[in-house]
Amino acid sequence: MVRGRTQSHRWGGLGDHMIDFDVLLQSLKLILHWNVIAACFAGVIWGMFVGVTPGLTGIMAVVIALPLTFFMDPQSAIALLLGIYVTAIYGGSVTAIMIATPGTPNAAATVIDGYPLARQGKARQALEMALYASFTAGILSTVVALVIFPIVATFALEFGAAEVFAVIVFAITIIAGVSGDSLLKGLIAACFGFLIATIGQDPIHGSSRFTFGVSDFQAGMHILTLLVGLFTIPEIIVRGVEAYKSRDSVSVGDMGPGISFRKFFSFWPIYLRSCAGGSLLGALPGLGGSPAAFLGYFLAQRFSKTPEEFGNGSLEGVAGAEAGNNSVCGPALVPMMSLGIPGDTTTAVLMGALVIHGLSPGPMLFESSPDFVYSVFLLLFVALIFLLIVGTGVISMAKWVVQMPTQILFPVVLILATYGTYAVRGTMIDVLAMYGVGFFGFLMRTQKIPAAPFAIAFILGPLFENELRKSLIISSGSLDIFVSSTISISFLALAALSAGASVYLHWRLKGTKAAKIISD
Amino acid sequence: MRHLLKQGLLSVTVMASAAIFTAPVSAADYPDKPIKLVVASGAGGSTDTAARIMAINIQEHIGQPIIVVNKKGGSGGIGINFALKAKPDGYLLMEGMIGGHVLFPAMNTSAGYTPEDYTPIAMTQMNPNVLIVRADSPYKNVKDLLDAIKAKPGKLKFSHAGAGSIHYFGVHLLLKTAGLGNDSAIAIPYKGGSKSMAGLLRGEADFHQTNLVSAIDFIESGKVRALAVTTKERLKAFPDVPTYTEEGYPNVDIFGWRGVIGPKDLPKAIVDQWAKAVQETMARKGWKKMVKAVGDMPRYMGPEEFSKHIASDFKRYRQMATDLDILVE
Repeated sequence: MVRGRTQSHRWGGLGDHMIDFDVLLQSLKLILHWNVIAACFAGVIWGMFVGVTPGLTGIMAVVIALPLTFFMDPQSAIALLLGIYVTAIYGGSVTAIMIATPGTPNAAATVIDGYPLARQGKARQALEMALYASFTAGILSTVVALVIFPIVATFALEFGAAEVFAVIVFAITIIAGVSGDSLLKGLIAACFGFLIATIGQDPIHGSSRFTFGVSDFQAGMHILTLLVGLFTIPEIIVRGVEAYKSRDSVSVGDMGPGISFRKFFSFWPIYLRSCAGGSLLGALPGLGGSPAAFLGYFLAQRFSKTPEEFGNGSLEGVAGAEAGNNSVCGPALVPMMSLGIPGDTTTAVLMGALVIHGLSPGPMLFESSPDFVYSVFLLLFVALIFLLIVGTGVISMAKWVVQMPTQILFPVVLILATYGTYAVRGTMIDVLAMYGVGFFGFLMRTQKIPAAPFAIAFILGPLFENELRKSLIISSGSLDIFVSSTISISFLALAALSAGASVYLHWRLKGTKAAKIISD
Repeated sequence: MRHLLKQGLLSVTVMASAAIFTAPVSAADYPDKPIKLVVASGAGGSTDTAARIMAINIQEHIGQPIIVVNKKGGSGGIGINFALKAKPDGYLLMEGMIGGHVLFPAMNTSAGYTPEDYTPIAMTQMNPNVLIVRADSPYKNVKDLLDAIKAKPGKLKFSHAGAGSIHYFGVHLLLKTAGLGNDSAIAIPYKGGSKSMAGLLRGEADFHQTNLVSAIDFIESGKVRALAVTTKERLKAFPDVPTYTEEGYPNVDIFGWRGVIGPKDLPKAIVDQWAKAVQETMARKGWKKMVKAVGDMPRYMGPEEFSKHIASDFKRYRQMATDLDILVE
């Protein structure tokens, strides 16, 4: 058809060649303009602001900036948006570590170990770990995306409903990893998560489920509502009661020393594993950063020499989670640019911005503007370098938080949590639901039921249901579809292995010193 | 913390200053403050982009800034119900879309509204639909496909973006027009248009009917074959692709649209002022260019024509939802 393409041409030329260095050089010229670099820097600043403000998510940050990009040249436009995209994913971890409030859903797994570290006076270590892990994994995964872009542009298409379902089943086994000392309690928490996730519209038939006639419930519970309720509110109640009892003005008071290069470097297997996991989830449409963060966390724990430290302030946990969520950025752009299928909501907005500039993502983009495609990946590197600089600045400001006495800090956090929950969708129902979940989370905590499995189940539940039901519609009800491809068999086998290993580990740990430490 | 606090306070101030407290004003003063435009779908989606393009272009013609507010969820129901509660003073309007304003209430009697409950102001753009199969598919035209469905009812599958989406209704409109039963083809639901396209490419579905804009790239790259378009005339971009009318199914004229819609009882003066501003905006080169870039076709309908169009769309899809037994109560 157009420009002499034939059907034997896979995806408009993709798959036929590796990186073209001439084109790479040309694309470098595209981005080496002061306005492009400045736009990227502005994006990073804005993304950081939004990331550390609970309730403002990365997607909102990108959308607010979108109309500005209508009047920019394509490179500057995408530079601005990529800057925001990359930074907002990291920014959420600052509040997750400092005040147990994930600034964005991506930081949910960072709370588990980041916040205990801050409580132990190791805030600087946790923050630096998060920043450096984000940066390292971001760079690694962008290299992965850049190198494999021509080869695996069609990768996402290999994953049908049954394959994605198998990946999700594997991801669900993460629950065992964050269950603490009792697998049973972890599973109980997961059940709560699955249940809450069913509120809203039925994904297949569109009918209402558990909405009790409230139209605002149609959209289900927002992930930030759940995360803030689950992690922040119980913490405020517990610390508030503590402070009241001791009648003492307590503050952590100290940021602690930073992380040494040797220590940072010693975690290299964690970055690689998180990067592998995050890249895979990133390249699959519809999964996004939060599952990748949990997967990274889980992998870090599975291969750790000190798995008992996880949940009580493990630097490896922070590294795994943050490396995991930032590994999504580069690979998520691959299906978006090569197939026109965005990996998550934020990449969908990026796609909108490209379309406005007449660069329609899809099989034609690489053929018509290969230099532009490469320039997008190069801009990711630029954005990551700015992230490192701006992030370091933010860390030095975080000392205000640790120096603040509890009786001032927690009311402030409570206001931020309330405002943040409201800001996401602008309804009071969400605020009420957040406090409801918060109180429930507090009750769970008194019974030593862990919060993380609740969050994971809530995130993965809808994906699980949707892909399962879709697969069965495709196969007319036959279960054979789940074992009809190597990919799905492999992931289901991995899931079985992972679940089996977890059960074994829990059984072995039971009664040991490690289990005691966790239960204390 | 001071830093965080400052940021928090700053954002609260920004939010508060953006909020509009409606007060009765005479139409002569209208508008004397910023106007909110509610988008009942996710930020960054095609409707959102369309709204933002309209918002930045129409400001000059309406004389006040337009603030786009996203209220997504419930197939558009949440945002529309929210907007319909506003006073009809012209300071809170909606970006109209076929999905939320017609298809959702058509298949959902408890949606909380029907077209009777809002005031159509003007249609701004439309997007025809196109029936596609994979390039390696044995079906070369609409007749081939329908014959195959007739030969083995309940075997062929089509992908769509959820029950009640235009993709879903579009195929059922074709089946119904061809005298085929509801179950003659299996409907596979995906989350959104791009994923249902992926379902077709991957081979999970045999055919797919979607917005032209979602399919253009794949048609051009030869990955999919277009069998028919829903426009009355052939499209300039695809002169080889026949229309449904040519194929003998003139009834299958479904197309997506967007526009501006206000709450019920919006004063006529305001409706006319907006319709005029929309017309002026649509004449702008910048607007046209952006709308075409997102793949829509500029199409103006004034208040009366737009109202009639919406009413007939609603009647048709309510009937279809009833026939298909997907009416949610």
